[in-house]
Amino acid sequence: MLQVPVPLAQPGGVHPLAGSIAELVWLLPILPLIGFVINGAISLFTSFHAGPADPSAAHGEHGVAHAGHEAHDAHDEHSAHTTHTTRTMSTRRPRAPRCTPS
Amino acid sequence: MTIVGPLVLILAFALAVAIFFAMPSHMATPFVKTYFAWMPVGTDLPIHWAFQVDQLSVMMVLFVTGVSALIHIFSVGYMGDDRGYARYFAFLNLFVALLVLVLGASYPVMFVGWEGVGLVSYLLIGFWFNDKANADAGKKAFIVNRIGDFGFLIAMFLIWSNVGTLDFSGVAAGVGSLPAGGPLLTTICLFLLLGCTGKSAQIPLYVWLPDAMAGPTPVSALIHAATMVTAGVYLVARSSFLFSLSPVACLTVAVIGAVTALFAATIGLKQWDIKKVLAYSTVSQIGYMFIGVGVGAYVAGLFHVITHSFFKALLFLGAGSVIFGMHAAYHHTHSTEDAQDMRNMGGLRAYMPVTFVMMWIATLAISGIPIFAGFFSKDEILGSVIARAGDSTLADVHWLGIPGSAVLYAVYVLGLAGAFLTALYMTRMMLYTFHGPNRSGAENQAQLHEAPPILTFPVVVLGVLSVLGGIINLPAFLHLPAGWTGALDQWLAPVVGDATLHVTHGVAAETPNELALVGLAVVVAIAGIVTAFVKLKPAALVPKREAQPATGFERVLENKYYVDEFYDRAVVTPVVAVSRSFLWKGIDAGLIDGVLVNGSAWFMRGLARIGSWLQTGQVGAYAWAIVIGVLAVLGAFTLR
Repeated sequence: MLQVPVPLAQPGGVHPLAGSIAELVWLLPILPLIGFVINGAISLFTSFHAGPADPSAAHGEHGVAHAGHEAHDAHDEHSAHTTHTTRTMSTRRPRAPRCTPS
Repeated sequence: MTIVGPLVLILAFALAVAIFFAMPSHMATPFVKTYFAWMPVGTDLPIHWAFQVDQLSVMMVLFVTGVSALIHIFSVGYMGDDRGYARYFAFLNLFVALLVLVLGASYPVMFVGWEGVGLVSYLLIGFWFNDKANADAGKKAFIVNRIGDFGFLIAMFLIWSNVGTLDFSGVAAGVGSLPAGGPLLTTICLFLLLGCTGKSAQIPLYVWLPDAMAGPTPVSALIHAATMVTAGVYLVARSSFLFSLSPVACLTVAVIGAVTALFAATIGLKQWDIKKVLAYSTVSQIGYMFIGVGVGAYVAGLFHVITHSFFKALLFLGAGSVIFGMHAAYHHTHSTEDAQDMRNMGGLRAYMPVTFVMMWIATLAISGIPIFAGFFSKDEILGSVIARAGDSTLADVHWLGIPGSAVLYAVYVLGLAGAFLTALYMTRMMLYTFHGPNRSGAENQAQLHEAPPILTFPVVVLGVLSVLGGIINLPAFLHLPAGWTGALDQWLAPVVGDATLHVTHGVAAETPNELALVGLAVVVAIAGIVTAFVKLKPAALVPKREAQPATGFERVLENKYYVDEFYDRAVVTPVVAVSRSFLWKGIDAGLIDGVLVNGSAWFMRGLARIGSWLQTGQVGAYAWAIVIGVLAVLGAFTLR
């Protein structure tokens, strides 16, 4: 196998961009990445809904109520958007077993 | 609503501009910043996480961040009412974060960006994933791209095993020891090309891009028109030191580009969905870029990448404004008509004058009409083809038994025919959308109006760039003062200059009869526009619900030559059938679940059952067993 030296360092002394703003090239992908983290966090927080402390009090109607609102969402080119529902884990809790008289 | 999404992009663009101005006019070597040893595989493969600042990477970063910033601003207005607004901007920001694709100093770092943008593309195509069609489109894009990525990976393995490094500068230095034009270099380049056809939607892997229009329109503008899909062109240009040594691979790139340019343009002629027209237009225009980099005119190909990003982003954002307006009108009147079908539009120039003017500018630019940006870049590509057909390493070889020069002349003819069709289908789109009577109905017409300023502002900026974008590489035949012409040629010379000269036998290529060729290209473009005006009658068009099904060849075009159906029967169905009958029922359910998992359980249960038969609970039976056991032991000792 042919082995070729890898010239990662600049040959022949200091590169003209050394010490310039080009040193901050790492910021180019980092800036949008910060946006990704912030928007991702906002997306997670806004779609999170804490469930009731007592699971037996939940009856799973929350998600149905949302769907009605979403039908009025506008400004997209697909009707798919209007039926988009965001179901959180807390909205579909199983009902507590019914207590039947013996 | 948060403005973080656009804000970080504006900052990134400002930083890119600052780096651009910090660069000296003649920088011979790239500025490489190594951050850490990423994958130190022994001493043979020390892969570093390193970024490379050179003329090519800075050029790409400038237009990616600039166009992205404009599209982010547009998205604030377009997606403002969407429940997934923050999720949308998270994905869109993540896409730009994958600038490592163009900043990477080696193939593996570039591959991270390459795969990452594919992932974001998948996430954004299926953004409204509750609709199965959108989710399926995302999966289709993801799978087709993986086929191309397989080629990229194989090419990387071959490069490393034969050159010993994967850093761009190392490969450029070491590739000279490989036989030029030999089968090894050609194989490496063809595997790279397979990766490029997947990412840049060229034949045979173009089928995912039209379906990718299922995503939000700004996504189509940014990822599936202006930036990500040109990654294949960037890869060929970045690997120019490899491709220029393999004329056969170069001719393959050019032929694939030319055939795709014409093929996609014919499909664009009969699409009714405004975004589908633009999608096939994108496939076709990337074909021109492939022609450019394929014939070794790397600057011409990259020039078209930039100008195309301006006018195609403008066209998509303009289409987004139209869809926005149509959808708002339909929503107001509770109509369920298709807001993207051009048969439901018509006459929109009266309601959306700014969008109308801007989209005509983009249409003239993509058609190659003089003074607009697309004229200069497309003309440079076609002129380069003729120049290479006369004298170049490509003209000296045979491609599938055909002389290289004949192949190049054929590429030129296909490119010219594609230019005619481009002007034709784009003018058709404009006529059916903005001219003639409005076909949305009186009730909806009352609701139609120009998009708000946050949508029109980016469109106007892109309109200005679509007019002036050609300035960055004005041709020599204009005889302008020194410094005005060939700016991009001079800028990119340290990166692709040697490769270009290698293709042209070391002399600067001159296009024979350049003015005549330019004139011919302009006449062809004007002919396309005039043909559309003469042949098409927007007034005679009826809304989608009243339209008759297409017949004959029109039906073939409307169904995109049935390529999807062919792939479905030739590839998807057999793969699914083999997966289902052999891999699932045979290997998974039969061998693994049946023989290995359940079989071992059955075997142990059988053994246990035999054991249980011996457990009779009768002392006499146990005594017999002891006697037999003792006799067996004694027998064994005796026979020993």
